[in-house]
Amino acid sequence: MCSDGGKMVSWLDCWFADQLIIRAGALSLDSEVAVISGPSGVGKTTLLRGICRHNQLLNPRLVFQEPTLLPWLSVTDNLRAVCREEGLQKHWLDLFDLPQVGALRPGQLSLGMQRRISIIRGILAKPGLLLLDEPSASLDPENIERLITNIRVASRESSIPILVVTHNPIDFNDLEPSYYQLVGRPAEIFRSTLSNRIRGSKSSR
Amino acid sequence: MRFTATISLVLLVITWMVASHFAQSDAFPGPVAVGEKMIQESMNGELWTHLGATFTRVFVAFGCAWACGVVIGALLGRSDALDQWFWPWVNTFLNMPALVVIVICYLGLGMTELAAVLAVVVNKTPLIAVNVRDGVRQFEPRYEEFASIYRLSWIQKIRLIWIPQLEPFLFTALRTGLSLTWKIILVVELLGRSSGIGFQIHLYFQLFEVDMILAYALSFMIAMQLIEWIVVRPVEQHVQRWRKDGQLA
Repeated sequence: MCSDGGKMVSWLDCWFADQLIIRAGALSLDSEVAVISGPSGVGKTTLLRGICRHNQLLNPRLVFQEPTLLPWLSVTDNLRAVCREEGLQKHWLDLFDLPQVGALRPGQLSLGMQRRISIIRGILAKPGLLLLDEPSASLDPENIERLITNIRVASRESSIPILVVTHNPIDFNDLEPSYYQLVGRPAEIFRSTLSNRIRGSKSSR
Repeated sequence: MRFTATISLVLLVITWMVASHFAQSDAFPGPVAVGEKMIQESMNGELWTHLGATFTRVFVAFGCAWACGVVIGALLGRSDALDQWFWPWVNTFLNMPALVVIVICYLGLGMTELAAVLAVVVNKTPLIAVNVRDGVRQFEPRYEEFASIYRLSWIQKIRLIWIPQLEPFLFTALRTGLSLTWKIILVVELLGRSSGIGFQIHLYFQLFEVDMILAYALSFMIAMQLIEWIVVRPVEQHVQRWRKDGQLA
């Protein structure tokens, strides 16, 4: 915990196959949602893994871009793998407007639904920090809207700080997040502002 | 599909009937003669005694082989070092003729039930191990990563992540293993047991009664096929129903 009430999240240098991908850094999560953007291939997922490793005390949970719900289990059983409280499961499925899906298996649901359910799974694991990897990728506008609504609800109801990495930060504008950018190679993180389509990168953390 | 298969089997029996009719030989009895012997042996209870003896051996031996094979296969699949060191062992046993193993076990342990079962376990374990090893190597790394980030316990990992991914391989091992096991068991019985289908085949071989040999062999083939249809396949379809999910969406 930091003096301004936000949580400090830091990470070490991230290497991938002998190459330095991301320089060590830190950011303070002073708003409920923070969005880190950067072009494809800059190492966003590598950063999330680095954050996961280096902030074990925060109990971080990563929601993968490719939904890793277990396809052989029903939605209910998938959620039960991380949390046995059925009332809580139902509570979150209702909040996310997914009341009817408990008995279905992931393969019977759309990609958007699978993503939203994996966010619920992340929340049910009671983390101190929730990391979302490209949650809006390959979703249509309607599904992105549902996702954003859900993330807002998740952030308010759970008061878990949420960190999103994306190559399309505009998707998350409605959440009024704090914006960061990953720039360069090896990549470093900078605070940025985002107004409509123009992203101006300002300095300093 | 099922209709065609049925017709095809009927045609096979008819071909057999015609062929044996023209052969006119005691060494090649027709389906009617064999069927009569099957009924006769099942009425006097002999068939059930020996079917039971062979079945018991098949399930005990195969159960042990399967358990050993799964453990060995899982270890070799998970650890490259173990695989490099012990794969040649598995491969050696895989290529050792069943007959050699059987004879050596009988020589070492005497003509006992233990020797009979052990021979089959030694002979069939490598086959199961190979299947399971291949299955373990095809595990999806993303489920492993999920398990470690979400801190699933060992029991949860085995139950929720490993076993479901292994299922197709376990079923292949079950199917091929079972069908090979019972054929080996017949040889084991023929060489050194005093009960079971293999023993009966040995007996009627000495008496030159081919119709009895066929009656016993056929009964066991039918019994094994029924197990496949009534037990293995329905269980497999139930357990793997999720694999069809993607096709619906």
